[in-house]
Amino acid sequence: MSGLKKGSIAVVGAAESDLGQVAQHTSPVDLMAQATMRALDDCGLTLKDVDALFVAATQVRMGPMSLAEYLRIKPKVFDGTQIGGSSFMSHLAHAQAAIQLGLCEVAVIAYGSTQRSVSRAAASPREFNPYESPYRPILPISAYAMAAARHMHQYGTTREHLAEVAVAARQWALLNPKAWEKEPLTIEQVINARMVSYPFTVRDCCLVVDGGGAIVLTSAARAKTLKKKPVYVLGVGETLSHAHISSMPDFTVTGAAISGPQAFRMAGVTPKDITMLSLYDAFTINPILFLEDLGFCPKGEGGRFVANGAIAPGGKLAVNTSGGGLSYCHPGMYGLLVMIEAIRQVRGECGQRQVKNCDVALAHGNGGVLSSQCTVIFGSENTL
Amino acid sequence: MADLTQQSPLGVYIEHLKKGELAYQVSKDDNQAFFYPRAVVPGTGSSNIEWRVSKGLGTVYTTTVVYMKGEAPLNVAMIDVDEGFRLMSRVEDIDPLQVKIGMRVKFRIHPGDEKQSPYPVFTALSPDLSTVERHQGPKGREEANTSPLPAMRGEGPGERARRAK
Repeated sequence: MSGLKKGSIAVVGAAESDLGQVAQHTSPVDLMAQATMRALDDCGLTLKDVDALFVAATQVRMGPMSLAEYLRIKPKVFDGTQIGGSSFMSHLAHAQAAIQLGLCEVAVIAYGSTQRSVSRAAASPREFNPYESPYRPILPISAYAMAAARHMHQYGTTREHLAEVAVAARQWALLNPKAWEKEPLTIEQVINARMVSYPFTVRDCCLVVDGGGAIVLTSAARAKTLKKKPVYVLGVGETLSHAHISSMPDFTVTGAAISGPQAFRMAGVTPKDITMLSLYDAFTINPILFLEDLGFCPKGEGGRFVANGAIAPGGKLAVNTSGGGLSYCHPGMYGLLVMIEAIRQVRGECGQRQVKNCDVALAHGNGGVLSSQCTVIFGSENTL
Repeated sequence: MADLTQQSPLGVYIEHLKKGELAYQVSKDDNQAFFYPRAVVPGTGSSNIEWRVSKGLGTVYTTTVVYMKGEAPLNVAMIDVDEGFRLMSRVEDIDPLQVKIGMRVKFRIHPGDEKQSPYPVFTALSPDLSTVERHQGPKGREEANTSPLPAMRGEGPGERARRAK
């Protein structure tokens, strides 16, 4: 991302909407608006300050228009890039470009979903693909399951390794009052749960809940004048490798191997500088692939890396401290919440689950069927 | 350039399937196979494209088994076809959990129904059979058939009907 400058913008506001199960007839845009106002309150700005709007959702085809109408604002810059769950990391990169260029000053990125209330089938209908639909894969699950199966075959990753990811997420979730899941989980329970798409049981798969969120971004100069300590954008990277799983070149290597190095280069840091990771865990194989592709362990070693509670509370690396999409919240497109947890860790707002001295956090977004990969590195003032 | 007012890539593909053939495209610029069928060569945009018919032999690249409520488990697999392209498919006539990565498989046509046009599926080959197929002599199937809609392979209608069942 040459042209984007480390620390030129910062996140100044971050908030979730109501999460879990919302009241009947709540709309996705209700949730976006609620989260937007909470995020603005978080930094002391108002709707009048917002001059850029970035929205993607599965239930709202033209997101920026719908949210601008609802809030009755006229943003100068808007972007509805829809690349699945990582759209919001991509929005952040585009917002940074727009703010650096002076096209806008205060950008809001927002999301909302009522997929639990209206059903996933209604919230996110699949497009027909003549080369895939006849085989009736359960998408996106079967796509990730096939990536997991290939990783198991090629590298000796086991179902226990996959289950470690779900168990670690659950342990973190038990430290997060906002998490959907409230009960402990064991490796045996994950493996013996209802099989959905081999090797995944329902416990290898993310939650299906309602929810949304918003973040507010502005220039580093303006960020310093606001309520909370700015969380600077140190680096961003984004890439697309395919749309449909049939066209993924190597099922064991994701675009994180491209977006990660882009973000590290811009930030001028390496994996060993990262204190905490927020990795888009739609399925248990995801963090394993991303830890490898982002350079936290060698290719093929992700399963063994996460074994023995290594990414659980008290482990060697803090990953998905919110409880992740597996146990905290997954409202269809989870990337905005992936970033919000990393932002809160850098702010030191995470209470029981706070990672000590968290100056640099990495948020990695995934969209489609391992299709779009976007990495954002956040840092405190100490890291500039 | 393909005349999309006359013929679509998917349309040609389906016409081949209706004749029991698994067709794919090759960039004539570099002899690289690609799939799914397209109006231009991916990566270059060239329209120098040739349709060929696969010999129908491949290897399971990865596999899953989907469990839908009230239904028997169903295999979904990615098949690396010998001519150098990959497609999603299903390996039939075998316990879905016994479909293994690396298994050699052979194409056959699934006839589809009123709503669904015919589509390619695969059956598991014994190692011996795959060896025989791969070492087929000059009297075996052509490596590739380059006519736009090549003739059906040499198998009787009786066999096709049996497999269609």
